Amino acid sequence: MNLRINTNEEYKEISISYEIVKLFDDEKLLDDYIYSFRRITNYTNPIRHFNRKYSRLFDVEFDAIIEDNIYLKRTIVGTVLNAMHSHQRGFITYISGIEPELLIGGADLDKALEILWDYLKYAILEPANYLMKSAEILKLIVPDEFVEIGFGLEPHKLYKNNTQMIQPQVQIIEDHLQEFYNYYFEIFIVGKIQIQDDFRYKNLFYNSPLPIKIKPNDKN
Amino acid sequence: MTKTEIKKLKIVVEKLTKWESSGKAFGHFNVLVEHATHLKGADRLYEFFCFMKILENLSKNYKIILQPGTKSGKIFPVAPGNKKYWVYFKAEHNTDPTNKYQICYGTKIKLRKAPKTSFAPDISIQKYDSTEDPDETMVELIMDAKFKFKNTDTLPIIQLNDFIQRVTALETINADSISLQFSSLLGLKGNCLLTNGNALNGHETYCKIYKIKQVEKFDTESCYNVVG
Repeated sequence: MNLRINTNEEYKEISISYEIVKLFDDEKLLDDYIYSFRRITNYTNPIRHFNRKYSRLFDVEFDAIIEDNIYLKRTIVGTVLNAMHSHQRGFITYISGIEPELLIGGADLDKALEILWDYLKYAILEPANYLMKSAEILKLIVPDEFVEIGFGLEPHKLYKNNTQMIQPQVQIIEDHLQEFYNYYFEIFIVGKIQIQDDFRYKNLFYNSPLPIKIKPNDKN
Repeated sequence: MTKTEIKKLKIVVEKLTKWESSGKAFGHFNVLVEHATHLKGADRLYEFFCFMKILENLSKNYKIILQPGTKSGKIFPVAPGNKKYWVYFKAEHNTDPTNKYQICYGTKIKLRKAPKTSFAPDISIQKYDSTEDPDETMVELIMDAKFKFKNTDTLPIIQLNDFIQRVTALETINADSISLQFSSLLGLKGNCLLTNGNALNGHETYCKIYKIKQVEKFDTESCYNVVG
């Protein structure tokens, strides 16, 4: 699209011309780019940032769409942070104690990724491992009762939505834990982050805080 | 990583961070920052693992029988609970019919002289005929588990003091001389403070005098070590 404005005339003339740069085979969904566009701060409803008919994209954002060259590091951090339910609250509390500047602005994504991994390792992956080992033992000792075993808070109110059953959880862990580790190794190699994003992203997001979708009333 | 992989990563994280059956957050919270969450008993997966390791070892010498709770069936409490409502185990020795115990998880044990005060050790070995509302006369040995965010972290002195107070109040100072027979975890016969982290150095004598043991590196992979 080209925009030409002639201000010398008595009246203003604005002409816009379009040309097709590229035809896409697949649909381009805003969801895939929400962590690569500087203007987006509402990660729940990103379309709100596009309520004008015409608006400007930075070069690197334009390339994100055309070349699928997204801000990968920020996309990973944002995707994980906004998928971890109440652990987001745990992570924010944790990070506010050790690296509070990440929450205020100018988030160092390398540092954020490393801390996020540490958090997930100790808060989720190790407990998952403990549960799997516990389940192995239960299966050996009480094989017939294993599927009925779980955890509950109040003995008089043990409904499905407040009882934490072991067997389906172990199934989830078995189905997904290895996949998670695979992503980890893709992101890190021997503890070092291997993703090299377009340098223009760093400039564009230099004062931007972590992309967190705050859920104040999340009681999960 | 492709867009498809990012979507899968999102699903994997969503799945692993919550309980499938209840939708509530899965994992450990308070190990990071105390009171980081209002979730009761969110840090109990390590405690339950310790309980299972003890049970597994005893199962070599004992027949283990699951004893369902009156209200909950085969559900364990995520926070300290009244014994009669929750499941626990009975252990009957394979060859010695007089050697038998109850193995309980997170059940409250009241003090006879102060019945409104109770303690709920993570693991308690109780007499075989212990009642549904036990007091200190029915408990033989106790253990507590302390998960450390970093496995290089050390048990603080306050946790040793607190555990000693429990052992004193529940009168389990003779725990190391009961007839309970472990299979390979021989050093664990006693009041143990189990941790995936490190024991507090320099307090071995203190632990011996007050009849507790610190068990460090008690996890899924390491060789544990007993101090005290």
